[in-house]
Order: sequence, then structure tokens, then C-alpha cells
Amino acid sequence: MSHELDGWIAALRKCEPLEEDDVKRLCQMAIEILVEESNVQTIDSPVTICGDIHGQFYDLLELFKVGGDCPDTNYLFMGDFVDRGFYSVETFLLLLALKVRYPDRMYLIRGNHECRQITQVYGFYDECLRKYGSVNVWRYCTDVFDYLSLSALIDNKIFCVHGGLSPSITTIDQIRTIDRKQEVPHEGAMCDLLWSDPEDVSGWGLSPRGAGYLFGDDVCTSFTQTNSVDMIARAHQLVMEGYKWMFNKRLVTVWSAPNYCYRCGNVAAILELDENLAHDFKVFEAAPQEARGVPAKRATPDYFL
Amino acid sequence: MTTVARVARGGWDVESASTPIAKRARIEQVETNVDAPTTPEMLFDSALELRHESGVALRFEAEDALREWVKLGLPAIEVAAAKTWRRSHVERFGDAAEYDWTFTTPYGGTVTTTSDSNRQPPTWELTDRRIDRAMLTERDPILMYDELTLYESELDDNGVAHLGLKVRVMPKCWFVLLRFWLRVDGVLIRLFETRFFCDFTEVDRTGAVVVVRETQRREETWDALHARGAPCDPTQFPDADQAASVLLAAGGPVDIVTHALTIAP
Repeated sequence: MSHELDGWIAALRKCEPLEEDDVKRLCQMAIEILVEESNVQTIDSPVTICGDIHGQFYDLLELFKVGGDCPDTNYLFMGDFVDRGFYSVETFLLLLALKVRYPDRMYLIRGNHECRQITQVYGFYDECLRKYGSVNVWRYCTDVFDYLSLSALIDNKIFCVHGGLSPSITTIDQIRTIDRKQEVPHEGAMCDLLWSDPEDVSGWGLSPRGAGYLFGDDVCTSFTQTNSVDMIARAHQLVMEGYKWMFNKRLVTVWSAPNYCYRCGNVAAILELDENLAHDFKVFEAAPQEARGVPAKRATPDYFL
Repeated sequence: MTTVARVARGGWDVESASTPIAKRARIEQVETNVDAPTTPEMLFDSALELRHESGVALRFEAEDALREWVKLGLPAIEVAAAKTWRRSHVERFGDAAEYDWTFTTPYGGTVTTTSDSNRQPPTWELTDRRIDRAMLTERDPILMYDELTLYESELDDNGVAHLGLKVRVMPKCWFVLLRFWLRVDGVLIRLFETRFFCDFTEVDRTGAVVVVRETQRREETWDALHARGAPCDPTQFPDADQAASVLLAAGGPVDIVTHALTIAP
């Protein structure tokens, strides 16, 4: 089995897609592993924490160059593997194959894009259809999404989640009781963990869009104190500098998609934690190959009206 | 890295600069300058400036566009999931902050004059003049072309708001298409197109150069599109270009108004 897996990993590292049947088998193998995982993954340091990737495959290879290869480095990816970039299929399948091959060295938790509804709008669905001529691969992958864990706890000190906190969740133990094996709901604790944002508000704020929570410094402080954790690491929001501290360094946003959407020109970051949880951000830029096939920055002159 | 395109023709010096998204310090500066609660997460310092030899210039930039967004201050619309959310939230935590999070702007460019030109910036006046579309369809060589994004937001994965422009400078004229494009999934779409045209081979009776500005505004709710049998799947409206052609074919309501900017010699 590991021989076959190594073959898939080698192909995927070259950005070669797998056969549909192989995707199906890989996804089945992944579900067998993921179904055993808790909603709060317990991870031992040292580990490197990564934020959104969004299908930027060559930038993911760049990330591994900067952070070290798996399994030499332990990784936690905090969701949003797919959508927006050109290589969501290869990106997700490579991460998934590494997960299956090295389950104790590669951790994946769910982002708000790991969901049927969002991927139908923001690229992954169309990419599967374009690359495979059917939506089967999208179905296999979105079935895996339902099994992805919701959060992680590193050495009982650093709580990691894609979006943020939820007013329905006071203790980390409450997260363990969520029935996560479903499409991301439109409201409730599971939705909040994947969608909410830290903000300069007092207590809990409602997003001005009318759905989604914002949480302030006081909420963050009370959560970290109640649960005896030092800080919260999350992803979900683009930051030009690759990472951003908030709330007296009790919360950090990590963003790992450089030159996001091939036009933002931002740098990306990963957060390395050593065995004493000392942290070090590694900042990196986009891989030149990532933008292949993207319209040139100076678009071709066109007689628009 | 900033890239610049520039050309001088017919008394105009046209320069565009495109930049990466702004860093934290710059974002905070813009928020202060325009007195906004927030800004789009992709805020660019990209800009287009068309400077006339008289000292009058027409400029396009994100900061002024956001100033117009704050000034317009449309009421907050709600995403599709909002009804259930608002009820449960207000019961538990009180009212939410309300502002137009779609960044909808009526921005129509910024008119300036250089300090040494000793004149007031001219203003846009309603006009019977029209953009010379025949001249624009001539296949004259394009001396300069660029596309810029001034700002963009993913609206927390509820759709897209995008303010961008295209510019082309030809041997006899220049043309700018500025577009604000909004899609709130399941709720509404908005497309504001503003076209700027200057035929610099022509002057009016007073010897003035005239810039014509034509504004077209379309707004459709998802429900209205659905009722007419028009496309109403978000993937059919991925960007302003495709939305423009779909909306044109769907034949919905459109507001058109034309102004002229007269630049005296």
C-alpha cells in the first residue's frame, strides 16, 4: 500500500493528476484515517502551522522548500486547500496523500472552503469537471471534507482553527461533542469555528453582512484563560505581511498563499513551533511557476468599448 | 513591485501604475483619511492619471473612490443567511454595526489642477454630447493599454466587490472604462460602468478640449433575474466582463447619464 501511495505522491509532486479510480481509493483510505480523529486534534510539538493555500500548487511546493519536506517536518494545515487557484485538485490530493502516508506528521483541519456549496461557486467544482470530464472527483473529495477535523491543540497550549471562536463554545471540550460529519451548516458552533473573524469589537459582534460572528479581545482572553491555552492560531483572512498578531499576541492569523489570486503581490508565512513552542515565522514569496498559464500582468491590448 | 505604463499624445500625458495590495500601515491611513470603519481586503495603490497640458488632470485611485463610498453610504444589505442570524444574534448580543459592506461607490474619477496652472478644476456638467463609438471601433493602433484593479473584496466568500478600470490611448483619442462590480450571492448584482472619452483632435467653439463621461448603472436582484428566466447562478457572473455581457443580454433596467468636462485652453 505504501508503495502505491509513494507512487501517487511522486506523481502529485510533479503536479500530475491521479486517475479517477486512484482518487477514489485515496479518498477512501483518507476517510478511514480521518474518521478516527477527534474534532480537536492533539498534536505534539515541534510542528509547522500553515494557513490558506487555495489551490496554489507551486506555491505549496515553495512552502515545503521553505519549511522542510513532509515527513521531515510535521505540518498542520488550517484549511482552505481548494478554490480560487488553478490547481485545487493537485493541491488537495497531494496534502491528502501525505496525510494518508504519514498520518502522525501531516494534520489537516477543515476550512470554510472545504464544503460543497462554496466549492461550486469558487472554482474547485469547475476545475474537477474540466480536468476529469465528470464531477466524480469533486464528489470523492467533498466526501472527505466532511471527515476533516475542526481544530487542533498543540501541546495543550496553542489552539488552532480555521476561522475563530463561537459564542456557543466556552470550553474546548464542547468542540469534541460536535457531530462534524456533515456539510458545513449555515449557523451554529461548527459554522462559527470555520467562519468567524477576530475584530476590534467588545464581546461578540455580528458581521455587518448580517451573518457570521466577530469576536473581540475580551472574548479571546476569556477563551484562552478558561482553557489554559497561551494563544489561538487561525487563518481565513488575507494579510499582506503573511501573518498578523492581534490581542496582545494572544491570537495570530497565518496566511500561506503568496501573490494571492495571482494579483495581490502579498507574501505568505508559515509558523514554526519548536519543541519548547518557541515560534518563528518563515515568510516566502510566490513560486515563478505558479503563475504559468495566468494572463500576463500587462493584459493584451484590446479594443474594449 | 510597481509597474508603470506611460504615453504622451495630443496634449495629454497618460500614466498608469499598478502595485501589490497595500500594507497594514497604508490601509490604516486610508481608513483614517476617508473615515471608514474598514476597507476592502485587497486595496491597491494602483492609479491612472491623464494629465492635460493645461494643468487639468483626471485621476483614478482607490482612496477617492472609497471616500465616495462613505459619502454615498447606502443602507446595509443582508446576505442570504442573514434573516435567521439577525434574529438569534439580536436576542443574545444586541444590534450589529451597520454600514454598506459592499463598498458600492458612485466614483466618477477625480479632477485636479496643478498648483502652477492657477485655475480651478472644471466640473462635470450634463451634456448632449455622446461618446464617439465609431472612432472607438476604428482599428487604429493602441499606443498604450492597461487594466488596473483599484480595490477588491471577497465579501467573506459571499460574492465579490471589484472596482477596476481599463484604459487605451489611440492616435486620435483616449478611452477609459471604469467599473464597479458587485455580486452578493443569492441576493443581488450591481454593475456601474463609467466610460470616459476624449477626442483630442477636436476642440469646441471656445477652443476647449472636452471629455465625455457616460455612466450606466444596472442593479438586479437574484429574484428578479430568476423571475425573468435570466441567468442567476453565481458562476455565470464571475467578473465584470462576463456580467456585462450577461446583463446586456438579459435586458434589465439601466440608468444612463452623460456629462462633459470642458477644459478651456
